[in-house]
Amino acid sequence: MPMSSHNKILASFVIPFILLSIIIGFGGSLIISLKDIETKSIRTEYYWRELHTSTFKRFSFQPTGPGNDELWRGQMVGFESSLEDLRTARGGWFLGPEIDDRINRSYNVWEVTKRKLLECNELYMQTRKSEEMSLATGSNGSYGPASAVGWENQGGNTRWQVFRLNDSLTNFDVSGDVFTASLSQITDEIRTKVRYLIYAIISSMSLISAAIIYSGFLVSKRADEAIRQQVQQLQEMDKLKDDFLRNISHELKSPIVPLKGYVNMICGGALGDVTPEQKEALDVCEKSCARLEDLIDGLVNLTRLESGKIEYEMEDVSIETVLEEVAARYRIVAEKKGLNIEWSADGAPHIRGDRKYLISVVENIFTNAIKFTSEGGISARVFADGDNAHLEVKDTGEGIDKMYHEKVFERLFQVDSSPRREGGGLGFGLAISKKIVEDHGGRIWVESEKGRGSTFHMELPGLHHE
Amino acid sequence: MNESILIVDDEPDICDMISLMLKRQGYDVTVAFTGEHCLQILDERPVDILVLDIMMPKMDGWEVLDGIAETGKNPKVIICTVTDPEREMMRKYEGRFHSFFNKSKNITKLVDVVRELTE
Repeated sequence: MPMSSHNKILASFVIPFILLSIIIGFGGSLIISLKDIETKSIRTEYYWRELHTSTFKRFSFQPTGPGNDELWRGQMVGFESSLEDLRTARGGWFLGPEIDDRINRSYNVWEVTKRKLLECNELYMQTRKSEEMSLATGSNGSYGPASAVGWENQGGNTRWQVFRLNDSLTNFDVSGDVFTASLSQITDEIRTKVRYLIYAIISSMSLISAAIIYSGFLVSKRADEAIRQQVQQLQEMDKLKDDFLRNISHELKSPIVPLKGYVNMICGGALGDVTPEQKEALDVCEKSCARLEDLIDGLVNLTRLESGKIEYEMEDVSIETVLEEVAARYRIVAEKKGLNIEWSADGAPHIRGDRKYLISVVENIFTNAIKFTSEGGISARVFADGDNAHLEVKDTGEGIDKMYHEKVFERLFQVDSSPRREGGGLGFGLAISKKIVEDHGGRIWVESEKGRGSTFHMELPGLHHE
Repeated sequence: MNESILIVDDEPDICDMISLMLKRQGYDVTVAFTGEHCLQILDERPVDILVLDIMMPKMDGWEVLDGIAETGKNPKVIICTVTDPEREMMRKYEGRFHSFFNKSKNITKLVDVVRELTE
């Protein structure tokens, strides 16, 4: 399937985005690990100086564990004085490796700065960005352990200050062979790491979201394709159903044509003389053929109607003329059975509908009325009921129990379903009629009592409704 | 000279029955079981009336009408089917056939339809 322009645009964004995310994510992770090596693993040189003296003593600090961002833990090695000196001093300074060549130059400044540091940690925080402080550190102080750490013993309490551009140290313990320092603030390294970590997280998230977007895009493409295939399958099935309905009617009815044709020809004497007994037998054959055809028509028509395959040809229809046409035709059939048919019309509005199908509804009502009436007759009338055209067909037949009034309009329903019942039929007629009437926006119902005849009503909206 | 009638239907039994019925009326009857065969016969000899089925395999009745239009022949056509053809097609081919006969009704009445066209 060719990629649509929409998909191309999406791809042109998504692919560079993914590549960029990979680069940033990978680069960020690499920088973090390099900084880890620099700050945690390399042995560095430091100096310490007792408060109010001018001699710096060198020592090395060897990290003893992996450490973490908040705690440096290490062993003092190569101390030029004992650890005891540190403990007994009133105070002092540790200086980081970055400033060893500038110790003397910055000495005076240290003194000034020290006072400030010892006065108030807050003040230190405020002034640390000043020119003075910058000189005091002697470096940009961005990397490594503290550039300068000051402490002062005051009556057993030790106050500590870290002298770095961006750090302050709150707890510096030299009571044992191992000293530890806890940082109260996130150091530059941490900030940097956090920054890169955030980059890494953002880039990973970007990568993940890009992947999600892209996979969503792939999934939706697949879903579109699946829906398209389903629609196509349904269309094919619909066509198959159409073809099947057309074919099944054709195939079922075709064998009846020669059967009926020959019976007609024989009955008509076209193929020789026929005895009265033969004629009687042939009449049965003819009736059976007609019944079979009706059943096939009923089944096929109902199926077609219910699947919405009927295309009505709408026109202005007078229900009066429909009634006249049907009643006149059924009068002969009724009279053969000794039944009387009468009808009248009383100014019903025209309706909009398919005349052919409406005729079949009225025919069906008359067929049933004649079928289930053994004496008396059928009277029909068309009249205006408000804006509607109303047809009622009353018979003097056996009537229908109230419990079946709705069921008679269901397909395959027979009040008397015994095989020996009178009339025959499969119960398609009224179901078809109901569907046609409803398709025309109308309704059809029956009023009846067992043993007291039935009245079928059909009501259709008059033309001026539209 | 008797009018010649060509019956086109894929059901041989129906062809035989209609053929017998029309022959007894004195018509010259030929049958074709396919649309292609029908066009071939029309090409070979003159035909006055065509009794044409619609639903046939391969070439259906409408396609036969298209084929006839191409040959320039002009037989009178009776569309003869068991089910009512689609209204859409009836409209499309209006004027290209003379009448429509539902053969699932009383087939013997086909004789009357043919007689009307030959008179």
